[in-house]
Amino acid sequence: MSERGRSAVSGGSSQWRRFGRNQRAVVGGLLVLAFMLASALAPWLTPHDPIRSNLPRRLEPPSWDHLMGTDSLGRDMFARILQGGRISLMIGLLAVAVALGIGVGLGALAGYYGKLLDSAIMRFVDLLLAFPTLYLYITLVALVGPNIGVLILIMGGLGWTGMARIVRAEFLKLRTQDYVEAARALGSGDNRIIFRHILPNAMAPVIVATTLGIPGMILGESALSFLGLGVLPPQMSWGSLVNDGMPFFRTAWWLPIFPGLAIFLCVLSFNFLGDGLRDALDPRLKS
Amino acid sequence: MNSRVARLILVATVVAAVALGAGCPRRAPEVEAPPVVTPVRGDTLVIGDVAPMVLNPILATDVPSATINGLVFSGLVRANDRLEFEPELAESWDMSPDGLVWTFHLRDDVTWHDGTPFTAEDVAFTLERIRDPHTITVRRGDYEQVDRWEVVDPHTFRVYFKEPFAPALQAFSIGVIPKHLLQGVDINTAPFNTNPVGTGRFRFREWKPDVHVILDRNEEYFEQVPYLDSIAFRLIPDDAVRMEELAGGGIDFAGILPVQYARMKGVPHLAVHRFPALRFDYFGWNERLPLFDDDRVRNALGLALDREAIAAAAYEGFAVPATGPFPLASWAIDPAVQPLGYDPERAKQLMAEAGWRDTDGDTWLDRDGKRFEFEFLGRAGDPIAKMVIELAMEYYKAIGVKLNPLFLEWGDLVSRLDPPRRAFEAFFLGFSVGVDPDVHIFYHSTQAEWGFNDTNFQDAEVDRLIDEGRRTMDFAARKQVYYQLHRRLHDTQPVTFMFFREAILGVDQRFQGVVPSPIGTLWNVEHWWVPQAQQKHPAP
Amino acid sequence: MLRGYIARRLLMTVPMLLLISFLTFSMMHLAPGGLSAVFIGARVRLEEDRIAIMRHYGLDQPFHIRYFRWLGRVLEGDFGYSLRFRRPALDMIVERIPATLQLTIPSILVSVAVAIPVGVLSALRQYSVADNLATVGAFLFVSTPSFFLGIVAILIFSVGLGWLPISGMSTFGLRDPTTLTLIVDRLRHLVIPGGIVLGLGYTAGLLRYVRGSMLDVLRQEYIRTARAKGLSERVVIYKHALRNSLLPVVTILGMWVPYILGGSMIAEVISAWPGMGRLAVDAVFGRDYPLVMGTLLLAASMTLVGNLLADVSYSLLDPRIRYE
Repeated sequence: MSERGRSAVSGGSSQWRRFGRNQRAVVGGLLVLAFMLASALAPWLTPHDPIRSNLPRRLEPPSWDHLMGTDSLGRDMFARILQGGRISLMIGLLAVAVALGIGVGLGALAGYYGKLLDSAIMRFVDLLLAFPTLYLYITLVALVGPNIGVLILIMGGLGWTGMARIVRAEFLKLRTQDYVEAARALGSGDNRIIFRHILPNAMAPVIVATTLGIPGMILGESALSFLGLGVLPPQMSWGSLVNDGMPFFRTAWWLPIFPGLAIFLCVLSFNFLGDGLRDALDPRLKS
Repeated sequence: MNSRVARLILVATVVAAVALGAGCPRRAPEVEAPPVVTPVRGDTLVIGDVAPMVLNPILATDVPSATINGLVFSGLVRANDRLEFEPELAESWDMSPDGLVWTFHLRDDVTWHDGTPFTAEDVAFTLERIRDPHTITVRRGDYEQVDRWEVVDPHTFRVYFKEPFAPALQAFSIGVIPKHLLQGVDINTAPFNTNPVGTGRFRFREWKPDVHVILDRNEEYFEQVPYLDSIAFRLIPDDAVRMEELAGGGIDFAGILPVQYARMKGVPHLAVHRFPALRFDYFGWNERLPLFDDDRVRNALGLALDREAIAAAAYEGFAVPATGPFPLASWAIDPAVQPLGYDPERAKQLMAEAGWRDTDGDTWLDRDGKRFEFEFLGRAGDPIAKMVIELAMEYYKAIGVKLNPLFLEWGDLVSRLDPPRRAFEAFFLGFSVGVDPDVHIFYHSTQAEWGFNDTNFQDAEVDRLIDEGRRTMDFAARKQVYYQLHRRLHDTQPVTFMFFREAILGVDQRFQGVVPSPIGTLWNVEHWWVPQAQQKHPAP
Repeated sequence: MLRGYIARRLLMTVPMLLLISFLTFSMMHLAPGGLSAVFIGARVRLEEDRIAIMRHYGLDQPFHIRYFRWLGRVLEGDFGYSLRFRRPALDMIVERIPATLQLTIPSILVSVAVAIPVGVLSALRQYSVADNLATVGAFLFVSTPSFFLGIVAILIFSVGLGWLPISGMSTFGLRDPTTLTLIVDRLRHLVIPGGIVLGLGYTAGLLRYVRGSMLDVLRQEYIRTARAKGLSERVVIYKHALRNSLLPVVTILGMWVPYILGGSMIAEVISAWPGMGRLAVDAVFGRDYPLVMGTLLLAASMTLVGNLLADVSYSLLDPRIRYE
């Protein structure tokens, strides 16, 4: 057990080989990398401004100059999708980071200390899971008002339950391991045991859950955008771009289709990557 | 999406238009149908709409409810498509020479849909309910000038006003509700509100929540009995899907988004109509703030915008720059008043005169160390509002003014504008206006605290003209008062008048006798008919 | 022991329900744009009207008093009146339940019926062409935003090909309906919201889960033992492997409980389906607090009860469960 965990974080060669043999995972990983790079380099990838309108050139279909056409205010869709990708990815990553922080923290507490604390935390998890997710999202976002920070906090703040369960399960398993008992016998404090001994060995499923959590957040943001609770202008996300394009589905297909494809491809890549990581890091973990 | 938006915007901003919906007029279409063709009975008109809320004309505030209420209920008078009032439940009316006492002579051949005769008691009951503080209604303000009323005899009703009140007929176009069914019942929550009984052209059959509302022809109707068997409202929330249903023939009648106009024109079975709507869209500025408490600043904020360009892009050309609060179809509009032009240089100059200059070189104007920056509210989910606001951001940036957009859901938006909160800096909204040009609740200084004067506009001259317009009974004289008022509003810019919208409507070609009108295309629906061979729905 | 476990779980449910009600209530009342700021979808012009309305809805009382009063009424089945529709919120919720169930139950049943055999076969023939197809297909569907999938499906199957109705739950004014045509009509309306928008996502998720679970079980010691003992492959798979691999699937189905009653906001809005999801969207956007609280509370409580039942049946099914 502990061996597996250790080698996972240190990048053992057999895991990498397993990952490398998984074509889907490699393709997914490369695409994720490409999306990240494109977002980072967005301003240098296109001469067009994603925000400034250009009314004489509104609603132009894709062409060499405008690879993905222009929107209803004449703005280059390619530039907007690059810019929207930055925001969508940022929301996805930061929301997962929030979920990671809460989920790992509470999961570790529950799994390590057990007893009443465990019950309390797990019942709270049950409580949150009792509400249909999108109900909570739209209720809270509608109440607080949409902006990027609110979206991140709400999606992250509600999306940690799966992470907490995974970490708790790992802690339950690991806390009775010999090496943990040994560390305790040698007088290590709880903090040291949690952070130095158990957590590193619980990293594999956490990495997998994190990777698979990002696409969920991106889809969540797009659903909120569809319901009209997305990112505010002048900013844009893929979700808000699809939503802006919906009325044009029949008259200017490039407005909804391209950002829709971007969401689809990016989410698919993360799913491939996460699935490959799971197979590589722990073939025994269930989907 | 436009139609939903328009509807929702209507919901809160209007009082008058909904009251008006209660009395859609009817008149045989003048231009229609060669005389050899005789209308035949039969078929159902299927309308695509969003869900109504309350089928009671004194409680409803949303347009889908008002549309249905306008078919099920009738008022004492109704507006016609020339925006004049004509008899409905009242055969005639007269006014005392001082304008204080109005006597309505009611028809004696009207029965409620359940067979009970309609009398002046019902009219008195309707007024009582509106005036009862227990009733949750936004209409009460329309009757503030009413002193008292009396039932002279079963078919004569008299109202005494505190002062002469020219817009009175508008107030009496509200749908009358039946005393025998609502007496002693809590009207706010009465089951009646989902199962209404009126005196109108169509009687209520059923309401399947979120599915449809169905009305059937009222065979006992006191004027032209409709040819159509039924009108069904199919409740479809998504605009794009509603458009596909219209194009596919699943519904016969629906508003059309500007972006879909050209496409819908090409659908063979649809007749697509465009006509000016009874509304104007505007930017409101909270004049309680030092930022906006200056005619020059408000003028500058208007001059900075190229409205022609915005209309062409955001509304696909289905809007023209507005000159004031009176819609294009109104008799009160002074044709000499021109919309503010696009003149960013003049705008900068006016801002400078008001003390706003870029002293710290950050491209934004400032005064006393404070930047000209404000939060600007728009309705979430309204694509037109989004485009307008995104463009306005750019135009304002060009003169050094920083607009920070915030899109809120309808209820939230309205709650921030409403008294006592008034928690806003600026916003983009539409107002639907009634047939009568009385703008007392919008711009009179007394309406700043609790009324619809959200922006706290205060101008003694505007107050005076509004009061005079309400008191002046002679039509020609009254029209002159409103011409003056229009010019004064244009000079002082209580809000930035942005656009008059055009409504676009698609109706299945099989319906004969359709005459689109700003007051609601269903105004003469009892004259609509479908040739036998083309009828789609058999009688229920 | 088992009885004690069930009793404990039952006892736990009561404070959980209270917590749900408290969370729901405070969300509505303490949020910045909350109930005290808005109370009606229309604008009230006179101050005395406003005060009357505040009193009418009990908004002049302090928070904790309002909560307990509200709770007391809820326990009596009074969820208050919808602010905009002026009807009892509970009535409005209850009348949406049949349509919601007609959407969610068939889509879940079909998902289960498709996902379990395909997932099992996929696992048995790991890395075969069929397995790859199923796996990639599942990935494609979980990766598409469901509203996008829905609109595209309507444009292709309803508008383009004319195979399916565009929206609604049944055809308006269907001519001379017989029982059979009515059922067929319902099913045709179900395909896009139930089958495509909801069903594909459910199926894809469940399929991945069943496949993983099956692979996991196949590697277990007792399966190897069974094979070593010379039991036929059929017996090994259907008697031992399948049963054990499906146990954890019950957990996944338990996670879906909130959606059985909660419906789907996206599918219902797109397809004009008269269910709970659409009611909830409407309520949230209209700031119709009694209705929002009612939908949230009901969906969450039903879920808790559903989970309780799932746990109990799980413990009955699998004697290995420890009752901690």
